[in-house]
Amino acid sequence: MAPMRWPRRTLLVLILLAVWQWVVPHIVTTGPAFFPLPADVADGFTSLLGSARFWRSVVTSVGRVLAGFTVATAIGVVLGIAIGVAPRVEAFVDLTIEMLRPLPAMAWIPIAILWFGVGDVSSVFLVALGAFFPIVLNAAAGARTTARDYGKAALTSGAGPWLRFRRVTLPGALPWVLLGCRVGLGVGWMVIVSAEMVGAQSGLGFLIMEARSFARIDWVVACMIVIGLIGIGLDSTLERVQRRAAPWWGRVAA
Amino acid sequence: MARPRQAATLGWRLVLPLALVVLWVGLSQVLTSPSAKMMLPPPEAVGGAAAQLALTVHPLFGMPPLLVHAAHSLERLALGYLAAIAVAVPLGIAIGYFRGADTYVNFLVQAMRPISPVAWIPLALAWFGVGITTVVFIVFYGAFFPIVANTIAGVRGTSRTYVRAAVASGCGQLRILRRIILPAALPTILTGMRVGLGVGWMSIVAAELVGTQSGLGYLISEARFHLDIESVVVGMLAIGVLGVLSDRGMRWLQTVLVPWQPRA
Repeated sequence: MAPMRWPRRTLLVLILLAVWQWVVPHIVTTGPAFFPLPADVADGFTSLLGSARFWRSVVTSVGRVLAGFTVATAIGVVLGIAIGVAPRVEAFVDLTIEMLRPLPAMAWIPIAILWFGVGDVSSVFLVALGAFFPIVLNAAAGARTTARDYGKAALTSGAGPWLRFRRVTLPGALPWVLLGCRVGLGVGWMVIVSAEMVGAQSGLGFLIMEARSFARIDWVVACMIVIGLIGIGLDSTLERVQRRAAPWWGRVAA
Repeated sequence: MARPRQAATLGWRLVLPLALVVLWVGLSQVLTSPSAKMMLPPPEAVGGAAAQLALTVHPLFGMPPLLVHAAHSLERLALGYLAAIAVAVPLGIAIGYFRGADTYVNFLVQAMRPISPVAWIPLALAWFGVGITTVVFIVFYGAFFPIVANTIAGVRGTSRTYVRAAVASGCGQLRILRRIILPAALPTILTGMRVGLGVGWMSIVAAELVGTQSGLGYLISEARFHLDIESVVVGMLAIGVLGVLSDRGMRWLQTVLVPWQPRA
């Protein structure tokens, strides 16, 4: 059963592509400008991969995401763990976090442009903002859960507060932190594309909007696929880190 | 986040929000140059913009503009979101329940998933033009995946024991689906619907920034062009408040439909 799956799936994809290429044009007569045919997309893809501008856009977008993500991780993990272990810290920040959290990062795009102008700074700010909340909330939940479940056991075995923190709370919170990072990076990647569509003159989000205004639908679709692939790449990198750093966790949460 | 513990008095919790408000008021008193006002509008200016947007009747719409934009956003959100539920729940049940759908449909769904809703905006614009259809499509797409993923998980998570018991007592396929699997999967489906609504909100703002001539996303984007930061802030507040309210609504729905389920 199982070995037959992928050949059949491949066949299904080929059939769908063939229908798209040879049947859809007879039904949808608005022309390939709107429904790019697989062959057009393939052509668009090749010309895109050959252009230096495309690669510059990829580097720009990924760089911005990683920069914003790094800022969000640095602040989010420290603050989240502090929230998880210290009720006073939690009480100090929870209202503020709860007030800011419901606002999607996209809603900050216009004000970020007013504050920081069009370009790198506002992009990094927006990514950091989008990635921050999943990271801080997961880190807090991880530290809180660990401190509650294993803290007393460590206490009865005579561990001091520093030892408890370093050997129990931190490793216990690690899988949660990494989970939050994965979610945060995913949100960040979504935010950067959106931010570059409105508030940048470079990056993949800008490139895809530009392709659209030149009515190059084949490039638009190729860019979408690239955006998807980079998203997968970023996520699977963190997944690998997660498996390395917390191998015992993967079997519990997907 | 979690509830405050004994150490946390209400006063302590209010320190930071109040400090931020005081900082805002103080800075806006000190920085009075026009350029500074553009970056950090004084509270009374935001209040003025809020009154203007929410109370003054717009000559064209016959209604306050904020209400018009909010109504347009909510309408698009509702259409896209309901369409997502209508497609994702049956599809998720099929994928979770029938092996054929799992083998031949699920991998296609999973292959589309990494392409985020915002990446579809340019293509949707080319297909549907600037307007409501583009936004509804983006909301639909964004809300679809969390709902379908959770529906699949919910159906698969249904205890085999229940299903076998039902089979043993002579239940037909359809009855099993309706009486055993759906109720068992419902809490998970509702969680997916709640996540989907959140993603829908993100998507609608992103789509309205570029793809419409109305809605709250359009409002803040347009206000930005006019360097009208007060209106940007008012629009952001409206987005935040509606986001909270819609999430509360989903939570209420959860307590009504699955009262036995513990919730976060």
